[in-house]
Amino acid sequence: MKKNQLIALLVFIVFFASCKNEKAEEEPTPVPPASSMTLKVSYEVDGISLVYDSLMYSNAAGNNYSVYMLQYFLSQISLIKSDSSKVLMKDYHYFDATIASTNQFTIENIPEGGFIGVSFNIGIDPAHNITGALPNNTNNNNMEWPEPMGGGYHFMKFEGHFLNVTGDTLYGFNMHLGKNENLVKVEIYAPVYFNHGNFIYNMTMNLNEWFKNPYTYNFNTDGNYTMADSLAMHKISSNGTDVFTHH
Amino acid sequence: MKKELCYLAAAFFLVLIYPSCKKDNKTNEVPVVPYTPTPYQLKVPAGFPQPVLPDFNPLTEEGVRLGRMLFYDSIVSSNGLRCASCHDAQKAFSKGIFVLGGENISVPPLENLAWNPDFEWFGQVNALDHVPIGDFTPDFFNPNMDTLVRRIKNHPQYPTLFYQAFNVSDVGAITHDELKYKISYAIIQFVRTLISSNSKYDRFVKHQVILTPEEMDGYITYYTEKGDCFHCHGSILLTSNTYNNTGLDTVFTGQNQGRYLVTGNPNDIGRFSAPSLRNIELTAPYMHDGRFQTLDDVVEFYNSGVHLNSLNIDPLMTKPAKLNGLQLTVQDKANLIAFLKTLTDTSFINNPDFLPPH
Ligand code: HEC
Ligand code: HEC
Repeated sequence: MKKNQLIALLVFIVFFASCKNEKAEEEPTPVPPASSMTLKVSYEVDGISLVYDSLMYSNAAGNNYSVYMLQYFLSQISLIKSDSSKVLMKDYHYFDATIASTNQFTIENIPEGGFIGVSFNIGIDPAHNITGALPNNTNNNNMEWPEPMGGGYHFMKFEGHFLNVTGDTLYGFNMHLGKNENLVKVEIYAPVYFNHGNFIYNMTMNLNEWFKNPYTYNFNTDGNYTMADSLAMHKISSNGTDVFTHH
Repeated sequence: MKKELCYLAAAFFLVLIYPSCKKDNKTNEVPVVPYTPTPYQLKVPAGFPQPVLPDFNPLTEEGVRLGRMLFYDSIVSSNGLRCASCHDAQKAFSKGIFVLGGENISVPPLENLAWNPDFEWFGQVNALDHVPIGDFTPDFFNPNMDTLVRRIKNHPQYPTLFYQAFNVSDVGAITHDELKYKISYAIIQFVRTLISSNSKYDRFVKHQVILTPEEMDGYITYYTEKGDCFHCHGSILLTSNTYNNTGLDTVFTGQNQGRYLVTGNPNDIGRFSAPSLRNIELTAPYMHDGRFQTLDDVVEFYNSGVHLNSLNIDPLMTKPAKLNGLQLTVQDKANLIAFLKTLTDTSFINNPDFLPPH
């Protein structure tokens, strides 16, 4: 390298260094990083962790069943302040219980402070429960509730098999929820305090809670298929308010 | 000094140094044609989600051009076969039955594959880019790789295209495996451009046309509990990309074991990839083994032929309304088929960009 090039290079380096200095001076003193919250969902059936396609569970009505698929949305995920007002943290999230990466998400930039609980809907809130209102991606599209049936989205697809009443034939069950009147509103009261750093909020869905309290749901008598059966959907959605627990 | 001004000055100095540094270099190995592939912009149709494209095989104009030539060229085989032998544009890039190991396999169409998560009837292959690797086997192209290299080198266009698409100036200087991958990658770049989005159904969804009363009735059967086709063949891509046992069989041997052959999970016995029903009118025969010749046969199967006692039967198939068959009338069935035919996209099969290059 020739001498004049070397000088040019040196000047360049000096300039670059000064760029950096200047930048630091211009910026205001950084505020301490805000908190974040990672919400993690796990699944169980009355304390037994979820294993797919295995006829090992029994619900309150005594149906012997297995689980094949569990996909659902949470929406309007909010923190509840002590005055009962809610701070919306995330519009919606899609869960597929079989795909680990979908079963947690992180909310950034939570200001320091305390909250008395967490609230959300299982399903999509009415303002977005219109076909095409959610971002266009394969997960959302597969949850579409057909236009000829009113449009919007499936709130949940919970599917599996059960032994019929005579105990000799395996039938499928499809607990599908949709339609605004079946939105499940959940509030979990347990104080959370944010003071920098990441806070992990663990929740468990107990699948058996879908089948009891207030309605003991029996696949043989209440129906093994809920879609387009408004009474069946009403029972399942009413049972849904306490499927989640925080621990 | 302002931050922007400062970076500008720095950039200026860099420009000053760079050419003078280069002058010190003695050898000049810049090729005659510079390697500057042009990114290919995949046109995502209105209403379609964004496809997930792999970083390892980015679409380029040159790659798509090379791939299109190779797709239609039997240079890749020792037996005259080429992709187009089994993937015929007029049949939405499908073609009847292929017999492998004494078993029938229905050749699937090639359409909108940029949106699929996995491929083939049991989801054997996870990356679309790797599907053609399976074609370099004795059952398919059975190529002699040395001959293939020689043919490509002697070809008037391929050497330049391989350079422009992949920076490979001599296909003889890379390994045979590398060459197979380059060929596959180029062909798949072309396959990713095979997008069908202009059927009558697409235009109906966009409120540009109305369906006939028969088609509309079929649409309602399809998209309600009456026929319940939408759970597995729904939304704009007309597939849920799931694996399901629809109750075609009760005994499972060979290919009929389906997804189980990939996962080894007994719960996957009899489960098959739910295909998109786009262009279904053109892709007979139907099902993984092509057992049904016509759409009437398929609809009659869903109407009255489902084996409810099949192992791992999909939960959707045992709804109360289905336990005694769908109970569709002759008119219901005809209308459902009329609707299925609105999924045919003639502008797709006649798109000049998808036909053999001249
Ligand atoms: C001899 C006939 C034949 C030839 C030649 C052939 N294919 Fe196929 N192709 C098939 C069959 C049969 C299947 C289905 C295989 C299965 O699912 O087990 C298939 C499946 C595919 C699939 C998966 C489609 C889907 O929906 O999952 C792609 C992609 C594909 N072929 C591309 C190609 C390309 C590219 C070529 C040329 C390199 C090619 N094929 C050559 C017969 C052929
Ligand atoms: C539970 C999911 C499910 C439902 C519900 C369903 N299908 Fe299918 N469909 C599949 C699967 C999986 C295949 C492939 C099966 C195979 O090849 O073994 C298939 C195959 C087909 C095929 C043949 C596709 C081809 O390329 O060969 C047609 C046509 C079809 N279905 C139409 C329908 C219609 C019409 C309905 C409603 C009456 C319907 N399906 C309901 C899952 C489903």
